Amino acid sequence: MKILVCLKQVPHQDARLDIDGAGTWIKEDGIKFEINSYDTFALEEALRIKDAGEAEVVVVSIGPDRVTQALRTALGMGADRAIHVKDAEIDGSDTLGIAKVLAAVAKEESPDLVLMGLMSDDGNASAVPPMMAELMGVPSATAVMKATPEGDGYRCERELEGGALEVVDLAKPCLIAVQSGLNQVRYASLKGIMAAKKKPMDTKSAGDLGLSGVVGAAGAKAQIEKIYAPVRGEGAEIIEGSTDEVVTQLVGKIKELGLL
Amino acid sequence: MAEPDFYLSEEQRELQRALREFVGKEIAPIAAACDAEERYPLEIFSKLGGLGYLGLRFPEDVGGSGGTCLDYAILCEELAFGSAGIALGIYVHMALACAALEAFGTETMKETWLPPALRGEKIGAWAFAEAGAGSDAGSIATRAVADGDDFVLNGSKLFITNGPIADFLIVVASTEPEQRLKGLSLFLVERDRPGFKVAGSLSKLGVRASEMAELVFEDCRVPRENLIGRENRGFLDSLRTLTLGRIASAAFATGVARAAFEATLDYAGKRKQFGQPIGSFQAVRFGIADMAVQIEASRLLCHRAAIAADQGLPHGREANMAKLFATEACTKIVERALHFHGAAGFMSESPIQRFYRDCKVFELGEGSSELQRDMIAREIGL
Ligand SMILES: Cc1cc2nc3c(=O)[nH]c(=O)nc-3n(C[C@H](O)[C@H](O)[C@H](O)COP(=O)(O)OP(=O)(O)OC[C@H]3O[C@@H](n4cnc5c(N)ncnc54)[C@H](O)[C@@H]3O)c2cc1C
Ligand SMILES: Cc1cc2nc3c(=O)[nH]c(=O)nc-3n(C[C@H](O)[C@H](O)[C@H](O)COP(=O)(O)OP(=O)(O)OC[C@H]3O[C@@H](n4cnc5c(N)ncnc54)[C@H](O)[C@@H]3O)c2cc1C
Repeated sequence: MKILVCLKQVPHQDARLDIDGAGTWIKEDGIKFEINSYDTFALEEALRIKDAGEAEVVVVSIGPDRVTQALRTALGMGADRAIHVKDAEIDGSDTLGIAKVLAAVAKEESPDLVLMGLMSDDGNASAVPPMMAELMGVPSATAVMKATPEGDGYRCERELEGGALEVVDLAKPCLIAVQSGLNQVRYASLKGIMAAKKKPMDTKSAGDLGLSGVVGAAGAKAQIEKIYAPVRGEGAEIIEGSTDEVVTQLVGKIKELGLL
Repeated sequence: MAEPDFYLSEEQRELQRALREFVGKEIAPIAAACDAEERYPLEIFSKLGGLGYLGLRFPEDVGGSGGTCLDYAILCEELAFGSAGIALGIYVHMALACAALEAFGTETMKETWLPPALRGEKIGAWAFAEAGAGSDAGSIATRAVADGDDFVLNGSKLFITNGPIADFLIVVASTEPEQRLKGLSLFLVERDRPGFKVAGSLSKLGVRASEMAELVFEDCRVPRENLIGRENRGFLDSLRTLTLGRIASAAFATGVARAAFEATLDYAGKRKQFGQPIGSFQAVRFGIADMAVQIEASRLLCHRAAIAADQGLPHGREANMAKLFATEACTKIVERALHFHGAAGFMSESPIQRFYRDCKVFELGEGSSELQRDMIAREIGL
């Protein structure tokens, strides 16, 4: 059994984000990064499958040198092997470009199961997992709250709007994109951290994956025009004071507007 | 800009990251409650033990995880960043009780106690201080008198961290009173030994999450096998071997100072008076800049001592300097942090007042500032 876990490294949740000069991304200089929170649940799910039986857990991440830190964290937590896809040519890829790269890695690895997060904390697109599954030609489920082995695959419980659950069965090989909170993510053990150094980490380029000229800004169907902080609108009022004062004023306002 | 800790290895950065995550999720959220209730969260022992962190610097054959002194300094800073009290309980257990067993204990002692202790299932304490013996170890009055195959202990110990929760204690007792320092031996005393009792918990100003007690020995009979290390020399030997205490103190002080600094940096950016963030006033800006410099200087001195220790170089002077500088810097930094928080920092619900109560102890324990200065003066040739 082989599991491929796709990890994205995103700005740390406490990082101060400033928009860069071009106005199309944030300034990355001097900020801390971490593993996309959704992906940590995917990794934990893979490690639990490994703990319960025989499985090799391979982690893959696309990005510059800094993403080796995320891969090393995953190795420290118990993943067996890491693949770092690093190529300036991939910069500026749209979601489809990223899905193509990951699908190419999956093609080389032929995992029985691909686990990844439902979306990324920074990009928020939720697009890569279904695209990747289509490119691989395997069944997939998103927003998975629970995955249990069933027959030759997995029975997945998907979260629907309003708290309802949908149950779908996927035959292996398949791709599961997890919702956050489906498990409790472990901490890296000291031995795990020390052992990570000896675990293999391969670096691959777009060319290695046969994707030269297909991915990156050149191949992107969508281009980022700009990113900006929303302009402060009119009509909002911030009520300040002690809890009692705030509540009294708030109730007053609601009454004033005839809403109560 | 280079990372200030560019000299750390990839594993050390990963260790730091993993510990920050652990401390942020498991320790920081309970720190205030444990301080208020003067309660040690025992589950932290088993959680850290389960992840192998209590075994840092212990060999694998006794259940340890290996690792370096620098790794250990990283652990101490991160734990103290979350809670100085919780860090202190872990420290006494690891760096004093378990380290003494590992360095001088018999094979039986190590096999019996170390694996469960390093898993965090059994807790250790180090019983040295007494009502009449603090800086001056030579005046220890607890006696251990040989009687057949046993030693009989009589006396009492004061200010013993982990006293109320310990399963085993390393007790410093005099086997030859006339010899003072050269007549002190170490004994392993199990919690359920007849003649041993925890006389009562002591309440403290700071590091209140750690529990402290007075211990009493009344004709407490321990077999000769419980002697740790050489008779009459056990304590002096331990002073030579257990050199981590000063590095740990420096790292703790750095951790507490960093917690106060980060809170102040954040507050100074948000708190507005006279129409602007207080961080824009020169008096505050300069104060916070000084904090940053002092913290990095503390950490560098601490890490230098740790790296020297890892390379097998003499590091006594380095450790003394690190301990003296970092602990005094911490007290100054926390005082400024409270000042810049104004009344908000003075309130019981603010973590700043906890740091203010916690910081002072590092200047007292592990050799007070006066003793450090005295040793440094000697080391530099005075
Ligand atoms: C929170 C906390 C936890 C502790 N945990 C433990 C524990 O787990 N196990 C344990 O055995 N002990 C513990 N202790 C006690 C600790 O070992 C003593 O506090 C320490 O040895 C100092 O002794 P003392 O407090 O009696 O101070 P004293 O030795 O009485 O010193 C009082 C003052 O006199 C100064 N002074 C003393 N001698 C000199 C000198 N020669 N030159 C100049 N100045 C001098 C000191 O600097 C100090 O400021 C703990 C203490 C605290 C506060
Ligand atoms: C025990 C206690 C009792 C109190 N009782 C009362 C009471 O009975 N009635 C009452 O009205 N208030 C009371 N207060 C509140 C007191 O008035 C405020 O603490 C005081 O006005 C300072 O304001 P602040 O605490 O909000 O600090 P801030 O004004 O927010 O100042 C925080 C820090 O910023 C710095 N700072 C601020 N402005 C400047 C500047 N221009 N230049 C350089 N540095 C600056 C200072 O270092 C200061 O320490 C009490 C406070 C305490 C602690």
